Amino acid sequence: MDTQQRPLSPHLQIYRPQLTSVMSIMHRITGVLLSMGLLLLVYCLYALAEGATSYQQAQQFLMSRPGLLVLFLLNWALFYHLANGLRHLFWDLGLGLTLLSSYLSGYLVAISSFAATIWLWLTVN
Amino acid sequence: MAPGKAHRSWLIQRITAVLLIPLALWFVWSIVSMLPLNYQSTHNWLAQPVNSVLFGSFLLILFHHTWLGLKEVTEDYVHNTVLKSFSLFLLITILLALLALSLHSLFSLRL
Repeated sequence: MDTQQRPLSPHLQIYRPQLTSVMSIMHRITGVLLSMGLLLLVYCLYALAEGATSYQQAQQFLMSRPGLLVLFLLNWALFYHLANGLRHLFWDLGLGLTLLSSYLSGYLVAISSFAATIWLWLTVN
Repeated sequence: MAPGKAHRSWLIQRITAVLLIPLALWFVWSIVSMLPLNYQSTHNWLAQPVNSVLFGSFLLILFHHTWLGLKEVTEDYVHNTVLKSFSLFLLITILLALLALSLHSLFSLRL
């Protein structure tokens, strides 16, 4: 049996984008982004263990304009992935599976992830 | 993948997700409360046993969750069997090396 010849289900680009499908692919994209953020976290931890000089180098990069942009994006990705992950956990429990509630929770996740990130950055500055 | 194994991955992904909710919020809250994250204050914070243990747990669970997530994405988008196995091997090698480096860094901090 040739497993290579098995039919695949159609990919995302076949379908018209909807809130639910866009949010689903965004969960993956934010997950991959956060994996890259993990790389940054490991670098910071390593720099911290190396001593004050290397730590200040890392700090200088992160507090620069591009560094802050990266941190802001990662912050949003984290809040989105966390909120949407919670949405998935509720679904796993069989809660909120109707069309209406999946759209409502979808809007809630999208809006709250932006709002929480902007609120946090405004309070800090 | 064997059906039992897929179910186990599914379950562990959910368990690590639940554990990461409080840990990630604790991590963000700690970072924000320590701004602008001076060397001495960050070092002292992470050298404290409570924070060190929490952060170590956070890293272990986060790395496991990252592995399961990136594995799922790789398995979905890389169709060639040989390339898939190679990608997964590369992925686990990089993640384990990064985990080792971060735990080594964490343990090397002294008060």
